[in-house]
Amino acid sequence: MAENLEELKVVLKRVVNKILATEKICIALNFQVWIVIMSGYYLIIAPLEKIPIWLTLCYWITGAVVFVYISRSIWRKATLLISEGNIRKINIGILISWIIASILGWFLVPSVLDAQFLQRLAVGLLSFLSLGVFGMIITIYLNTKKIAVEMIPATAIPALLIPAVFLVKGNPMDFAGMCAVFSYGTTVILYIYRAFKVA
Amino acid sequence: MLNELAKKNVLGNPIRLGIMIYLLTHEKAFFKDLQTILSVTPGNLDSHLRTLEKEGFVKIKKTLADRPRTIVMITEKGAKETKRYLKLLKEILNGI
Repeated sequence: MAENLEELKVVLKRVVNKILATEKICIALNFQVWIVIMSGYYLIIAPLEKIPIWLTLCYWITGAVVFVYISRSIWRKATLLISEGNIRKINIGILISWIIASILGWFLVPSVLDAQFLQRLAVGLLSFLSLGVFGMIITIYLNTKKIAVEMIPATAIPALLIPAVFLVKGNPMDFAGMCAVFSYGTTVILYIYRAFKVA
Repeated sequence: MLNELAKKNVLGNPIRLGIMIYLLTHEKAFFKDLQTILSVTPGNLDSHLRTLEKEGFVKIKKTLADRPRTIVMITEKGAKETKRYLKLLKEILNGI
């Protein structure tokens, strides 16, 4: 009887850990999709001397559509696995976070800054990425009472590197893009590490 | 706590719990795949899936790809209830 009980405990622990690991890999995938889209842009513009505005617009509109499409299915799976919180509330909270981050990052922050156009744009990009993830952390915490520690680099690194934009000698947008790749990449590593640790 | 666990008799069955745990990590599965994974007869699996569908834990759809196939998808309610059940089970077992 005691042996069966111990066996049941072990099986249950393995099941719970597998669910947790799957949740972490799903969230890591979501961040990785964004990294691929972002780095893809830098790969395309690298050989160009001058970047045509139509190329930037076309790339980011397509990139955003692709990201939303892939992210929707990944996130749906992830939210099914996230502890007991209300799935709908979490999804709405995350959507609101990104809407607020877009308004602040792309419109408000660049408009109040007294700097060069590219510097304002770079600060805007970093603010957008940092605030969006920060909103996700808050939403997850409010609904599950758990802090998504793995997401901290994705919100903290872009925010901490905002002052460095003004010290960059080259293109500030290249710097901002690489900050995003670095910070989101760190988050992906943390999620995968935690997934392997619990699995 | 044990009363609460007993009330959730839908997941009290090991086959139904197995179906829900598999769907929780895979989101959807073909009927045939579930049958192989759980080593159950089609009739037995169908009966358990109907119970889960009636409770709103899963959605069952027929798809027409290369041939007609039955696909089983977990619902938000199903995911929530399975996680709650597993948590409760874990708490009880840890308390013994």
